[in-house]
Amino acid sequence: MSFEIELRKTLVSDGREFRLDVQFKTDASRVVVIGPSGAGKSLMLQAMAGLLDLEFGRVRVDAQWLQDSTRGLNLPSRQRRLGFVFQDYALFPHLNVRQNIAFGLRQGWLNPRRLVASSASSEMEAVVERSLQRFELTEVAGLLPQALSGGQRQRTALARALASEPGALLLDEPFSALDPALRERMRDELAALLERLQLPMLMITHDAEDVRRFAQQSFELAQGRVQR
Amino acid sequence: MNHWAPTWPGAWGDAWVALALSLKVAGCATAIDLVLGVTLGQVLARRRFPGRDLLDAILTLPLVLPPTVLGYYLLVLVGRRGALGAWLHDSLGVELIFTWQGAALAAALVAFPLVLKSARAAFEGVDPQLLRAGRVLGLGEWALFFRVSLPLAWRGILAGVLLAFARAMGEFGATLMVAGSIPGRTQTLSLAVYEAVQAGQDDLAQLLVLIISVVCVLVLVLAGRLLPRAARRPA
Repeated sequence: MSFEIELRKTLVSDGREFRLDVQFKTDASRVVVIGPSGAGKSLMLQAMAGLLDLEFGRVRVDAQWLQDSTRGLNLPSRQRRLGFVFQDYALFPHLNVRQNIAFGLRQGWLNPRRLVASSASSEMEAVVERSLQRFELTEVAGLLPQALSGGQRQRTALARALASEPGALLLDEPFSALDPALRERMRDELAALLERLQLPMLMITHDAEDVRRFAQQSFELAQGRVQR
Repeated sequence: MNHWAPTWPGAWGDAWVALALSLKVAGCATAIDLVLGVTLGQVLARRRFPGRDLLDAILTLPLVLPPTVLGYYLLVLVGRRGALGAWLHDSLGVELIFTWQGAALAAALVAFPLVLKSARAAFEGVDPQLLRAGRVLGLGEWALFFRVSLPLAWRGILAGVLLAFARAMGEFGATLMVAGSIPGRTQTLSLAVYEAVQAGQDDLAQLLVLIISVVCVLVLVLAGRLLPRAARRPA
């Protein structure tokens, strides 16, 4: 399992110019990118997921090229099959936990149903029920995100990102919104989960503890560049 | 007060005709505004393109221009000799001047900025992070619109739609210029009030004023109930 990344983009906001110029290649399956706020970490992650128009980009996860400007390849976000956990989780506020998890499993213009029919359950519903159990969310399945605790929100975000069996997991400061005690517990949970799933993972953080716990390889990002 | 009573039955008949026409005109106008306002509101909220501010300014013009000026523009555009009007008449046989459809068009134009403004604000209130989350989860842009943007913005949009409906109900100037004031055909409530006062029919005028006031208050109360909860944030 491996990552190969080359991203270039210049952003101008309020007259200030920021240059993102990230390049690294690794055979590690668990990569942590650490850096201070404003270093361009979130931009880097968004660029990997195809959420940012780049001047130049090459993104490979395992053997799969998602983007390669030299060949004119640029898969849209929806085809990259990446599990993305956003810093603020970005849970859909109008959908309950079950609907949030099922969101990516259902295509088309309608959201997943609020409730599950007790008798007949489709394959999608079975996947969602298993996911709810695995992440201990069964009891709160009918609640809206605003009614959840911090830990439950994070579990929901993880469950949603993993439901459609992505090719890799991208995590944007997954623990920064949690208080210290909960942070430790959620680190343990994520470590156990990654152990089970054997999924390539790339995390960005400003906390050195995350590097210690999760990184097979780590990179330091500052002012839009990987430091050597 | 007593002098009202004897003439009311006849006044009711006239008033109902005008009310029904007003509701039809305002309803059609609002439907047009809903489709155009939501589409353009989404475009203005999400897309960056040259001339965006100018487009926004032009689309807001009906809010500040005198309705007579808007009516004049419409006459020039959709009148028999107007560019669009000639085409409509020759190829589709559609006549807008002095018809209730023309009145609906005038009302739609005047009320349009109310839907546009609220739709744009409502869409801008949807956290872009949620749209990113939707894209990463495999959704195309249309699915994203119907499953994320619209459910989070509909309260704000509906509040704007109700305001537009109330505004369309009260439209006078542009309607008069485009559709005239033909009883039973293009004479809406607000035009009927004017005609009644001019003709010295005080009891009819009073009744019409009462009806239009009650309808507009109801609509505004409804809009007010929707607005405070319009802004919804991600958890």
